[in-house]
Amino acid sequence: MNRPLATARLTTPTYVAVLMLLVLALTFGLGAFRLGFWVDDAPGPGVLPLAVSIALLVLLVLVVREPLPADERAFALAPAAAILATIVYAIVVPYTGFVIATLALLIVWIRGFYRQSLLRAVVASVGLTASGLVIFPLLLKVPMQLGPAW
Amino acid sequence: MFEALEKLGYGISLSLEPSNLLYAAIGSVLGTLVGVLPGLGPVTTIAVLLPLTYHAGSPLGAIIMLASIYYGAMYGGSTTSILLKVPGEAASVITCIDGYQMAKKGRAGPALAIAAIGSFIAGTVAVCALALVGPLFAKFAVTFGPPEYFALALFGLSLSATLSGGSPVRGITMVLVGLLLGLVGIDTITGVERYTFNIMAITDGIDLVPMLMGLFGVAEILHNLEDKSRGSLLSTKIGRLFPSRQDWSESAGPIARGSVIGFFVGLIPGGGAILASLMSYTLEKKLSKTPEQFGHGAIAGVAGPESANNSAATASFIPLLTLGLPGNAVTAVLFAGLLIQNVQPGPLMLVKNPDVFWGVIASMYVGNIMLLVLNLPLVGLWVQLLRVPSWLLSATILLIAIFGTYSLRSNFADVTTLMLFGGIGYLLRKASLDAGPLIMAFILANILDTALRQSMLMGDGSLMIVLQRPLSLIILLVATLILVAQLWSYFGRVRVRPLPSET
Repeated sequence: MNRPLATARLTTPTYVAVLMLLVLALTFGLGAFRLGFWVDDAPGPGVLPLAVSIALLVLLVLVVREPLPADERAFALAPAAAILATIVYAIVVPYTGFVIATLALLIVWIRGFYRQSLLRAVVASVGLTASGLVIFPLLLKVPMQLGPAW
Repeated sequence: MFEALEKLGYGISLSLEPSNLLYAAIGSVLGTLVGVLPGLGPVTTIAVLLPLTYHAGSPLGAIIMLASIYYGAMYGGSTTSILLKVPGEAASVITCIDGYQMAKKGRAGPALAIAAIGSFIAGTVAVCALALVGPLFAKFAVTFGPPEYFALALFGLSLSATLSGGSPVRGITMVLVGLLLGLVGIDTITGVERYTFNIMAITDGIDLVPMLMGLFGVAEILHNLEDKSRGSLLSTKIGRLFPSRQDWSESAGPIARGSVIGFFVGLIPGGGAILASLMSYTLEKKLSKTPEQFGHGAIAGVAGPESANNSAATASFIPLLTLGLPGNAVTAVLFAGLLIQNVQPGPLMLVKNPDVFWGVIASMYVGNIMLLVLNLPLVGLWVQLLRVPSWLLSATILLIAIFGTYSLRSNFADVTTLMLFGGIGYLLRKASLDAGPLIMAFILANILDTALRQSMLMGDGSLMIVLQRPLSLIILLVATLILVAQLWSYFGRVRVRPLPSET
């Protein structure tokens, strides 16, 4: 279990989330100018994005100013590593196909994040992947790329 | 009235076809199977299982399966509330109070049975009321113009932001984020691409299902990685399943009152179910001759809130089916399920797809029956699922989420969306930013945008038209009042902290 936050830091989840949402608000707000506010005698596609972006900027200031929730905890290493693993999976799966990428992800998941033995991780990953392949491509007839694309 | 009941009967006859009954059984079992797993509420359960409904043979079959998953997930949530004191969703928190105390006294069986039976009765009452009220709402809604839709969308958003629990400031923030994300894609009025950054996969907008599964399913398992120390959770025994005569007599009134309270409170978008549970519990405690037993295993404390919760959940379908406005996160996920089947919820649904409209209502009833017939006798089996180790549970959900997402369009971009929103959902959750209002706003974004611009067009560039039409003015006033009241009460309680630079 990760520890509660003793003091607010830049890595406090609320501040990281606010930073992410700030980028979103600025991107959409500035992008609204390119879309236009009045096009062909009618309100343009930039009206609502601009209004919402401005409101979001104001709200983000209020979020930063309000006290942090009592149960807010610092980031833990395991979920951060898991997010990285899932993103790597999303990048490689179109090239390797589902079998290799899914097996690798599940082994890393069970062995790396849950500290199970390698044998158990391999057996469970093979079993789960096989079950998934039976349900989706076989029973539900979902076309899936199983092997490498090359 | 008779016409509505006749059409409901027609819907039920469609739902009772053998293939549809099979979908109901599968949905009910799967919903409970996933919903009973600790930490997985109905929203996550439905989001994870949503792609499976895509592969049902017909739209009605898929919707029946979806409704059964929903009821199964709700019952799964009640099971963990009673046996483990782990509520699957906010509305089940009240059930924990007396349900868990009953379980500790070896009366988990009657608690689980009365929760299921109370839910069934409340569901029956609510479905009948829905069949009567729904068409009236839909007929009324057909007369709405853009200003009314604009006001209604704002009303729904303001309620979802403030009633979803936690800080209203954070709730409104998430609504605004959902609105921005919902505007990505081709603008329906001018045909211009908005914020697509030349990425083909989001030309038609960010796909709702992978986003939902990421924000709720993947984010949940990422969050669970922080606490992997879960050992054997189950220490209580189920005991005798069926309630005694005294249990029945103590539960009859709370079930009846809970059903009625739940239905009316459930019509409120945002936090209907939890409010209904809480109101029912408070009322039963006040009416009880032995109020001191509440909190120590009173069966009325389980029967009332569970019935109110279920009735409210059914009533929340009225704004969804008749106005096309999802009132809470669960109906937002179900909205996505209907869209997958090319069914657009809204006032025209009754006119364009009457079979589906009545089918949806009937399917809720079939799902409710299936819950009683199948889930209650299998309670021993569900309990065994509580012993599933967290590593296996986590890996299974991840696999279902990946394969399920891909199966919708056989598109790798959806897997990327899933993972991306999984990470985002985890971060938002860490920061106590609820993804529920985000999803509702995401769905309502285009409705709001179109209604806003059409209203401005009607008003020659001014939005005053919204204030000049009586209905939109009333809706807007109510929304503003609720929003201001919530913020007023919140800022009254919270002392604003100075910025770090000011210290």
